[in-house]
Amino acid sequence: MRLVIAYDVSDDTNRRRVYRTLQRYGAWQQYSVFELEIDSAQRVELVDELESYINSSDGDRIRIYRLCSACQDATTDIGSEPPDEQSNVI
Amino acid sequence: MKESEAIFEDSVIFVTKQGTQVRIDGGQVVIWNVDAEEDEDRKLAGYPIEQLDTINVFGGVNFSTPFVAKANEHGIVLNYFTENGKYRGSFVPEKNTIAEVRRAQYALSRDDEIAIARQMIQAKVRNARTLLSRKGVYGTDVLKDLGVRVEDATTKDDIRGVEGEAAERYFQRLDETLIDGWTFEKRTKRPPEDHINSLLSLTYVFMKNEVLAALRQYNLDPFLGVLHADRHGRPSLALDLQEEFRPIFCDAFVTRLVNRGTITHDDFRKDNRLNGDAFKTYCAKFDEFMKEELTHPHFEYTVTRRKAIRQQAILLRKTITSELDKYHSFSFVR
Repeated sequence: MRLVIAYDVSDDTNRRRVYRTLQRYGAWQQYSVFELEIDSAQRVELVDELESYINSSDGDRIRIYRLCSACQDATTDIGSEPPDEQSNVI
Repeated sequence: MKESEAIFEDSVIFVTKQGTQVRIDGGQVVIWNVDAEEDEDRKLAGYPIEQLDTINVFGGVNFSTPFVAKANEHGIVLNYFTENGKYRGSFVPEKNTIAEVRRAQYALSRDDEIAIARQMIQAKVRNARTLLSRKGVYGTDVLKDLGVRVEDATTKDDIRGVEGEAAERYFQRLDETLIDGWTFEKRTKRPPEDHINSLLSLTYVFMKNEVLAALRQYNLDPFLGVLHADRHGRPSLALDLQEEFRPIFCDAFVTRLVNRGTITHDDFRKDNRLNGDAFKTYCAKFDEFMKEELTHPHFEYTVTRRKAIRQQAILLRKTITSELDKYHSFSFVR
């Protein structure tokens, strides 16, 4: 499944932890936004880990969107060219 | 300003560029160009570590020690090859092995082993005939007869004998599947004597690694086979299971490369190995081939070739642990 995750974390240390966690699963898109292609099991693991770095009392918030095929096809990039596909053969 | 990253959807990567190092950087596996010039970007690629299950490196590519520790932690298998694809060894993560499955493997009776081996070789012979007919080569009834003889085999030697005869008959006709300019006269290895044998050997090595990955994933001991004789360092079970895939995946892939002109005679060096650029092309085409979807002949749903191999590992495990009373091999009737 394709997910887009946007986060807002106030504490510097926790924000770095959230960033590092998302980096292990997907692609950084722009400030505080990642895009991921993962399965259900990975999603459960990921959410569990992200929750451990969030303090609601600090106003921290993470929002996860799921993009179906139609949504992916309907996605529009404006401005800088999106990155080339990353080859798995170097 | 930092550049956005592309979504990565694979699970296997191949690093063929000499002089590079595979490193860990935060949550990413990074391919680092150690020999980069001053103005060149040192980072050749970055991959999210949770997406990877296998990394194949060829020749002068190494892994940093911190990376190997992470690979172990995340269950990533590291396969080492020479620059032109000869297998050298693997780093296999220290995951919990389910002793129960190994115990069941060791407890298999000779009759159970023979029953599984019969299915595997029957599939191989059936698939060989199917590949030939898909390429317009007919008059292969002798292979059909040999398939029946496998069914009647009562010893491993009988099975091996029929398999050997079927292979000989099959390879005799394989030449007819190739375009002009390419000939296949006989199967040679160690070392391959010509270009077609070189491609077949390389493909068998790559496919064996796909099978090994599948067996390990489902906790089967790849070294305890049902048909291939025990030998030090030989992954007999992987070679057994691979038999089902040799004609219908490996040979089909090689004939495709050759007949489409993806690989030509100019792509080979004097020692019959592929040159650097062609080898990289080969890796990319092999991976694409493994990710192509087909309709599973038994289950009738769409599956990638890579998944089809893993599916067979699951069925094999279920047969060995007696969840299934019969092993269903992977074979195409047409």
